[in-house]
Amino acid sequence: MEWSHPVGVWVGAIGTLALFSLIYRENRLYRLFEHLFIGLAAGYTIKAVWTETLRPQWWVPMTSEGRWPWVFALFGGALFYTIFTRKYNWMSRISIGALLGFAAGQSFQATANVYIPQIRGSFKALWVTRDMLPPGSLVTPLGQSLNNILFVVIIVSVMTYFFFSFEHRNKALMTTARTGRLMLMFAFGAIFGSTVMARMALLIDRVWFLMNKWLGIG
Amino acid sequence: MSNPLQRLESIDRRILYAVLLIIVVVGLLVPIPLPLAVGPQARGVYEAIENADPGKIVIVSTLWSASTQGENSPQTRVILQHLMRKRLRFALIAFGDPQSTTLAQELAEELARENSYEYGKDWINWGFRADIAGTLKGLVKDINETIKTDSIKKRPLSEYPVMQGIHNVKDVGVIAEVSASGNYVSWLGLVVGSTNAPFCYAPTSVMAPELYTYLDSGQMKGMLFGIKGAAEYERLLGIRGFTTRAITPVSLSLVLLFVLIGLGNYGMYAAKKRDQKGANG
Repeated sequence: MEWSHPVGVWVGAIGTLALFSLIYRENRLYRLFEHLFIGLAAGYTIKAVWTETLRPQWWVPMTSEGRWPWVFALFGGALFYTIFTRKYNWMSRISIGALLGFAAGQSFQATANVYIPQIRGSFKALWVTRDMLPPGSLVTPLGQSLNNILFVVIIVSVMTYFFFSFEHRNKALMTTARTGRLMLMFAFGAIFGSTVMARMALLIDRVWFLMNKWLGIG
Repeated sequence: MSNPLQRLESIDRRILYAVLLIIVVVGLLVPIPLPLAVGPQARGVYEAIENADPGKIVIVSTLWSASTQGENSPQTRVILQHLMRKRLRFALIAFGDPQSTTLAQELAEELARENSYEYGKDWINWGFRADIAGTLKGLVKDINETIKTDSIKKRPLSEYPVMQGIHNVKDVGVIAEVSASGNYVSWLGLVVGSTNAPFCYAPTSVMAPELYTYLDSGQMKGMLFGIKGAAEYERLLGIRGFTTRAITPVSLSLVLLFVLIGLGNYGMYAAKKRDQKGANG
């Protein structure tokens, strides 16, 4: 049954209203639907991990395609659960250590690929000429120059703010760090504004669902 | 509290929620044609898909669930609409939350019916993968060996016409991720950094401000900034869908917030002034 089926729409509408009822005050209906939602999501995840990952990637190759060494993965995974016993919890460290090793190795590659282009991108020309702009750019060379200067000022001041190796007693250092803090405040303001927009979007989606799919308005 | 403005500090939150609800309902029913400028971020995604090699496949990666579908669902929808309009073949893949494979598939099936897109020939669902890093590293080397079977019919990928000539990430035209999480780090670190595959990102509005550095460095070709980004994309595609309608209540609710913050601060200032007056006799 698709969620757009009338029964699915009614269940969705009742669930939405029950969860929104918290706005009025704490109540049992809200708690019931909260637990239902968490339980459904957890159950769905377990089912999906089996059908989408474990069965095709591990169970079928092991049992039907002769790749029997996959059985050792079960042993490695089971070691994690020894953490719940006092006597054998040292065994869980074998699996945890192996996992940490894999993660650390991968993060070496990932860190270089993620941050080196950003360091490279932070070297900007402070005086931009027209031939340095991409074709069709709507920004003037002066505008791009000001943008790049602003970028460099902000990056230097913010990094100065996070420089904790010695006390900021020098006046120039203090002013730069204070500028960095101010720039961070601007960034947090932008993030707060975006967060509000995100939450409004979620509310609007639910209200539209109730109006359009459930009540047939709009 | 003699001054009514001082009462602004203690307005019952239920009244504020009621006002917000009225604004949202009215905004949805009576859309105001507000100006909506298409930013370079949304245009970057549009141009990446517009210029994608038709001989290659587009990967649409999703990492979202019902809790963020208000933003991520319209983003997925507009990207799929564009792909189908361009008649580009695409593959869905989901990470992090298995709900996203079902939610994205429902959208793809709905749009496929409208655009005569055939499963297996024009698009495919690679399904949900719990191991993000292992899967991404595998895609760089061998897609068929990494994914093995599709999500719907559970048949080997090599049996599907849509996968003909597709071996690894070099055969991928664009990677577009719609996400409620920071999975872009995995894509950039493990796939894009070593292959230079064009990467576009559609995050929730909460995450978007911190991603401008990746646009600036060219690691991301474009970004859909939450619901606003989806509305901009609808404008680029020349369609008037849900997000075009939703932009009015989004704007009105933000105006309401500005007004309430202003009134609340004024109320606090008035109360402080009164207390100071009282203390001075």
